[in-house]
Amino acid sequence: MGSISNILQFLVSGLALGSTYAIVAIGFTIIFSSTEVVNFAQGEFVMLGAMISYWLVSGLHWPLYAAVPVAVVLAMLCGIILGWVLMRPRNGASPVSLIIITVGASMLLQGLASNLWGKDAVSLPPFTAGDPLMWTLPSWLTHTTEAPPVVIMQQQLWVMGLTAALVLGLTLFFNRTMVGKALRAVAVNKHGARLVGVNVSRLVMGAFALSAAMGALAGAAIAPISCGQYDMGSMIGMKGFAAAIVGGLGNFPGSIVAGLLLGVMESFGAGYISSEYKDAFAFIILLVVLFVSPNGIFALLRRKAVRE
Amino acid sequence: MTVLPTPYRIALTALGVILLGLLPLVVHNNYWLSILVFVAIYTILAVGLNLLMGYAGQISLGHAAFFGIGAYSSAILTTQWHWSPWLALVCGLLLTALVALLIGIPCLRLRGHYLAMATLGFGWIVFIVMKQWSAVTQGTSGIESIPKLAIGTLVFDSDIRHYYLVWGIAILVLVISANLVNSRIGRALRAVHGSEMAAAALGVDIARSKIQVFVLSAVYAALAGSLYAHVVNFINPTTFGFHISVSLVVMVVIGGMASIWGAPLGAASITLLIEWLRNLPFKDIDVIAHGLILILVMIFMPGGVVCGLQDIIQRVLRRKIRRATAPARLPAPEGGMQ
Repeated sequence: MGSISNILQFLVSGLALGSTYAIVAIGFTIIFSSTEVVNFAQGEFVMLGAMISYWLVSGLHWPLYAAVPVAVVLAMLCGIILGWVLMRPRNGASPVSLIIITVGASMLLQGLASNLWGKDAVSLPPFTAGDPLMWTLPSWLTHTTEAPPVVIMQQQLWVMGLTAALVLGLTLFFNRTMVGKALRAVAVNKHGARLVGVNVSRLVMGAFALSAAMGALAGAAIAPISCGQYDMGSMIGMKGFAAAIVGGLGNFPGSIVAGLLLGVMESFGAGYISSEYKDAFAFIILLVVLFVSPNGIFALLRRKAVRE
Repeated sequence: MTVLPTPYRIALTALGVILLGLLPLVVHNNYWLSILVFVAIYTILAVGLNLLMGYAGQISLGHAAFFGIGAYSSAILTTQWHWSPWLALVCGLLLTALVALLIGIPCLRLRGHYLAMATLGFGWIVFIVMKQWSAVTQGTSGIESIPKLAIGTLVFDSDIRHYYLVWGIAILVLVISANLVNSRIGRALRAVHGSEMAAAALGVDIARSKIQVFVLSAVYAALAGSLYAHVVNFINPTTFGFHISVSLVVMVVIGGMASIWGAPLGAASITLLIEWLRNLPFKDIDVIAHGLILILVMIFMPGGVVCGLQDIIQRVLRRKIRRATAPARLPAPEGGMQ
């Protein structure tokens, strides 16, 4: 059971996993706050990132550093098309219709992917070759002399580093640039933003492009750890989506924390409770949060703070 | 939506029932009969989802889970506990109603689309449990030799008997739903769909109406699941995955939301379309077709294909009439006469 090195090992893989959930959750959040559309095709961007990179690297023998950016750009294109379709004002489509369109887009992309790249799981080479890092714990921490070292794959560091860089970049983008501020304005009030001269429909497509690019990058980053497959998008998308809800839909820092939390919980759950049900943990947490505090766990904390 | 006077509706329903009853005289082929049986099962599912989507304005992306709970309760209770199939069926319906109530109450009291998210998560959980809890569900290999349904000595064991059994129940479900829609509950739901605020002002308990229709649609799905288990005699988790939930949404979208009689149309057209597409040399052609249909219908005919076609025909007719009646050389008023 819970030897300290085991716990740290689960923590590391959980954080790497959770980073991808966090990125997907941020993607959801960006689209939801600017359009109020729950984009059920978000996971497919992750799949596109992984599968297009794989196809360029192993099919066309491109170097990885060229393949990943191209995959990200192609996924962005898909995102822009989806945004354009959703924004076509057709008798003021109801939210249900918009949800259905994103579900349809998700099905379509999955079906096309299975035809283009087959149904087998594929794996991408890691971004940097090399042995995993062995982190030998000091003996005062483990109380034994022969505790196994904590193994950290270089790719896991890549995933966590990329996530951190993305979060930093997005924070700067939303606070310092005109486009980022305009996006925030659209999130607060679409009509108000239009009144002060923001081109809402172009920005919304930008939001789709941004969140597609992030998803694709996450996909390319985790494909070397857990394999890529044509239908990987539904699971990752759903978990990222669970993270977005747990963190409070539309709450940017909340979804990052929730994504990491879900990843860590999944990793510990798989290690200590049951690896067969590991995929269910995220959904159970999602349901519990929806029932207890549908605005996210942080809303619960805030409510308590207000009451006290 | 136009509402026909009652005598016409009864006459049309009777005509449909008679046609359905006579269909096996023309269709002798067991393969086609079994496809028609599946159409009936999907009709029951689609009617339920249609009530939810069309009248409560909510979408369930995990309806296959209720379908699965019905099927698995029937299968487990009859094969492992040796209960009578009818008792097992009723138990499955009650269990599903309870589960739906537990999910619906927290989600439907909130504004927005929390039900879509909760049902999606719930659908995945049920699917994972079906696959992993092998002690009870036999995992991916599924449960086989589920007994046939029987009334007295009449055992429903051939395609033609399945046909009459399942379509009989499907028609019952359709008639009940059509009456429900025109009852007080149905009117309340329609009011809620039109404007929640106005409905609430008129004294409709919005959350309560939505929960009622959600539970009912889940119970329909469970009923379809029980029938499926007894008709096919074998179930495994793949029948109850996310794709089936999406497929049901497609059927509702084709048939038109808030149109009870669109449900059999949607169920039939999708089932037949998928059967036909299977012959094409693509992988997962059904998934692609579902995706395309959802996107195109929602963009161009958000009221459903039936309604959309009706609209187009009406528009064409109106234009013809206008052209025939308008005096020559005078420009017809744009979009007038409404």
